[in-house]
Formats: sequence, structure tokens, C-alpha cells
Amino acid sequence: MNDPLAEMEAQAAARSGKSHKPPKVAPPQPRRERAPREAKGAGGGSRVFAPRQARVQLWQDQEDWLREVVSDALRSGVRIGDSEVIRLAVARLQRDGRSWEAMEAELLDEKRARVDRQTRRL
Amino acid sequence: MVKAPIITVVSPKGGQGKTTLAYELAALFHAVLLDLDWDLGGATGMWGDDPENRVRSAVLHGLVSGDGPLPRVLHATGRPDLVPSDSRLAEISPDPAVVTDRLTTWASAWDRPLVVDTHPGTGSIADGAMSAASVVAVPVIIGSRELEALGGFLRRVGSTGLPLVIVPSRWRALKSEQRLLGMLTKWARGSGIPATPPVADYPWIPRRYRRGALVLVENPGAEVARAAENYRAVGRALLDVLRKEPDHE
Repeated sequence: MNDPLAEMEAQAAARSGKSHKPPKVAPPQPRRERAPREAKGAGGGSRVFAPRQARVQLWQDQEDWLREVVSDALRSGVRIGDSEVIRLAVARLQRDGRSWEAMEAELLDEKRARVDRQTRRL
Repeated sequence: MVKAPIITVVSPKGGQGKTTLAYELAALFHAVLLDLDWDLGGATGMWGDDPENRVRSAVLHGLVSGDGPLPRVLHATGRPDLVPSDSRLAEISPDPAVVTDRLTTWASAWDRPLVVDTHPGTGSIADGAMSAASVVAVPVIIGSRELEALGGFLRRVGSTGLPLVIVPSRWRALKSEQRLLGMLTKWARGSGIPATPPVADYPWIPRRYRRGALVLVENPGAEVARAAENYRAVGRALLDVLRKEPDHE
């Protein structure tokens, strides 16, 4: 390292945000106007999202993993909702040649091994 | 040969934004981030590494014995290069001189800047890391109790000639904070300890960017760009201080 400070300055300049690549996704489109409530029929119309009780309960590890998928997607500029998260998660698993069940089993094994290690330590 | 700079991040209290600052600075300067904070919730966890799985630790071995292999550096896209922490650091109390020697040796072997994150407060590891430092960054929240703790810390270490720099942290631009920041800046100027521009409070960082460094986010939105610019401004201020250090003159 000849002049470490010059090098640090160059590294910081390279991360100055000015030399970033143009966004890969199309710019966001204006939102569609909402249909008036009465047009949806009796009861306020159909629900778009599944009710809270029907959502899958995730373990912390799974949640962390999904969050990583989501933040990767956000970083690449993709705007996503719940169904998109699942689609991305499944696509990533398929790309890695794995299934959701296999991932669950793997996490469970890891968790068991961790508990075993901790118990042995006590 | 000019030695690779070592930036040690210390704080007299926890929760001052120390880990986030160390994480962002390491990413900004393409430095190696050495995590010497043994508590959970530090840079190692933020990075996504689990040191529990390791039996041997080159960091632990090096700090205790003063020799041994060079610690392995972990790499991942969007994150700083990391030498992970070890929970057993809590159980050792190495000679600060050995810590200083190890950090200097490792930094020159990697031939890259080194950013060291320490456990809150002082102790033999933090003392050794501060002695090795080209600059010691001290993040502090602009609140009365935090500044009281900073005062106590500076009374203990301020007279030792360490290259301290205060980094006002988690800034919310409240009226009370503005008054205290004015006082701090004035006091810092008088005492010869420089202060960097403040880093604003971004409570969404741990939630949205758990693992990635903000300064490495490609195509950042306005919020991320603003937060990253805060850390860049701190980086520029630290470079200014480093330029004035005797090693670099």
C-alpha cells in the first residue's frame, strides 16, 4: 500500500453514489385509481390479502432467510408484496436445486445440532 | 512504507451506534472489520456469521499468546470484509501491549486499513485497540447522560494523547440536542478533540438492511442515500484527521 490514505479516499469516492449503474427496473408507474367502495358490492368487496390467521407461521431462521431474499430484491430495485416474496423464495430454492421442505428439514437439523452442542457444554 | 491505518471505534456506553459506524466505515474504506465486541447483536451477527460453530479462533489465540496464524477474513457482496468476534473474548483479559502488537501486525499483513469494533466501555482489549489506532472514533448520542459518560471517558483517556475524534450519533435534530451539540462542538474545539458532522438517527436500518452496508447499496432510494451520505461525511472527516497524524506527515 503506497499511500493508504489516497487509497482510502479513492475507495470512499468509488462509493460516493455518483457512479452507480442506472436502475434495472422501469420507473414506478402512477397508481391506478381505486374503485369507489359502493362499486365493490355488499360487504365492502373481496379481500386482496389472505386473513391474518391463515398466514404461515415461520421460524426465526426462516424469517431471517426470507428477509434476506426480500432485502436482495429491494436492493435490486424490485417492488414486492407478500406473494412476490414467496415467488422469489421458491425461485431461489429451485435455482439452488432445493425444495421448501428440504430447507425446513435442514434448518431443523441445524437447530437440533445447536441445542445438542449447547446442552453438551452445560 | 506507510503503515495501513487502524480506525478503532470505542464508546463509553452501549447503544451509541458504534457497531453501525464501524460497519459502514469498513465498507466505505474497503477495510477489514475486526469485531472485538463479544456480546450478541454486534457486527458479526449483523453480518450473518455464527462464530458459535468454530472451535478454534485465531483472534482469541493471537490476543492471548501474541502469535499464531493470521485470522481468516470473511467476504460477501454488499457487506464489509469481516474477521468475526468470539464470545470467549469476554473471558480473557489480555495484555493491552499484546493486543496493540497483534492488531498492527495483522493490519500490515493484510495491507489494508483496519476498522476495529470494541465492546462498550474500556478494558484491556479496548485499551490495546486504542493504542494501535491511527484514529479513535467515539460515537456518542447527544443527550445529557451520554455526554456525562463521554466526559468521564475523556477524563480517563483524554490526557494519554490518543487521536480521539467524536462522532455525534443517532441525531434527531431536536432543540435540546441542538443546544447540547453546540456546547459539545465548542468544547471539542477548545480541547483539541475534533468532532465530525452528526450521523442522524435511522431506526429502520436494522430492520431493512440487516446485513448490507448502506454505503454499498446500489441504486439507493432517497432515504438510504441520505443515511449513506452521513457516513461518508464522517469518513471524510476521519481522513482529514488521519492526514494530520504524525505517521502521515
